[in-house]
Amino acid sequence: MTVTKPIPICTALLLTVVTPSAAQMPLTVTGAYQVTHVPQQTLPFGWMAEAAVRVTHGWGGVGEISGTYKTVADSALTTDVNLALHAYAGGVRWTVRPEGSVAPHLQLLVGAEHARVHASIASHEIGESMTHLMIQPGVGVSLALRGAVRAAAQIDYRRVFMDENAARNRVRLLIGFRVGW
Amino acid sequence: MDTGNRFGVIPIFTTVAVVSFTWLSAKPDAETAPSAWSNPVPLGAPVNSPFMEGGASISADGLTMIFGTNRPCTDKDTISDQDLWVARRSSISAPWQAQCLRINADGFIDNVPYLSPDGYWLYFVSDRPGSIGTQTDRRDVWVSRRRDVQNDEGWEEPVNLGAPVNTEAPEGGPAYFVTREAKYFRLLPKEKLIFNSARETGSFDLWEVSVFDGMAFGTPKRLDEVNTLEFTEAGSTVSADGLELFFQRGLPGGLTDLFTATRHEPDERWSQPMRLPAPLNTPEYTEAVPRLSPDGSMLIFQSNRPGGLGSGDIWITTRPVAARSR
Repeated sequence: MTVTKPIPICTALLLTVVTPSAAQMPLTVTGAYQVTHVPQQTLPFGWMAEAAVRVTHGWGGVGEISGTYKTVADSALTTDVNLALHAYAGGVRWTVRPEGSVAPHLQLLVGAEHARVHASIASHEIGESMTHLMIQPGVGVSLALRGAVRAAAQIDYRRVFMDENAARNRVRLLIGFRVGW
Repeated sequence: MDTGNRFGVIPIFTTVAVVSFTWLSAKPDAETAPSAWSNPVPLGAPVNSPFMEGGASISADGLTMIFGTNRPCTDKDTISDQDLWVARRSSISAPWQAQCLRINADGFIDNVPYLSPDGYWLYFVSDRPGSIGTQTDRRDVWVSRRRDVQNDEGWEEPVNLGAPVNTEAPEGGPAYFVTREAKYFRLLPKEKLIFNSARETGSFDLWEVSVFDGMAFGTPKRLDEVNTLEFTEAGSTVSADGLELFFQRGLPGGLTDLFTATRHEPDERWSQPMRLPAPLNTPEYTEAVPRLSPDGSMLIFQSNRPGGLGSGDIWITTRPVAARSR
């Protein structure tokens, strides 16, 4: 019974700290937790760091780096397989109501994804890494909290330009905080 | 009265004999796979001979082939056994030159070789000393390594793969392949060995095990989706991407046919096996030990059908690589 109490408490706390936002800040920095779904599995642990600059009202430039990880117990290899994806991307963002306390946005990033998979067998490392171009459209929303701090959530589709059809697509969900100056 | 008994027994005996022969010569009933394979042709001398040849494995460049045969290694070789031979040619259109390998053990079986695509590892079947098993059938899977892929005399002392591949039961038909699974972004090469073993059912079934640095490890997996209780499954080969399987199936001690199965991802189960159509298979003769070339364009197998040089011979069929049965 006590498990359900934190949810309304957190919701109430969140609502009390929400304040109407000033105009879009010239510079914002975002840090977020991310979860990424790739073909056949989900990588549950990840991070994202982003910087965005305002160019015009509603339009801005965005640059981000991110990493996501998973360790899989492989029964055939009888060892753990470690997966890591790192992405470096930049692009444009259009914010629908940058001055609003709730500000949805659309963005389109291009960049590179570095994938690394490795495992240790009999004290030997096996596995490879590879870097591919990627394009990443996304949609998100930020919610004004207190002062220049906003909560941010976003979902992205990432298409990686690799030869292999079966491993090209990713979907990423992130949630974090955005601070503006 | 004696005459009556005699005339009564003969038809019964004849009927039993005919039924038994028909049953033993019968080949497994199965759906036939669509095929783009060409009409098989036998290799000529010096690869084939009046002796039995089979289990031929070809290198990635198509210029080296290792096969098994029971022909004498030299004119002075009086030992009746099975040996590994290598055939080389200077170009795809050049004639083959064949010679006996030095790693053979006199008086023992050395056969069904499989040359790894990189040319450094040679898996084969042998019952040489060091093999595990009963006195009647001690066949095991062995492996040898060489440091120079151009040196056919450079094969090092073979090593018994031991557990988990070899057991007290006979093992054979090794084939090495590498898979790259989508869930690992195709970045993790998983080396595998498919082989046949009689460990569970008393007749050969197909098994798969992980390999690293030439040696097997982990727990072998019985390929239940392709194995049967009534037939033997053996002599398998897997395409370089791990998505296409060929093997022989038949009644124990009877004729065998070539079968194939596919899958869309290397970590999926194999599809229902289908028999390769004529003229790859024949109703009256045996087809066995299929070996796929590394590029998937050539299937090499053993058959005792007419047209060869005698006993079992090595036959080859080809297809456009784009015509794979996936």
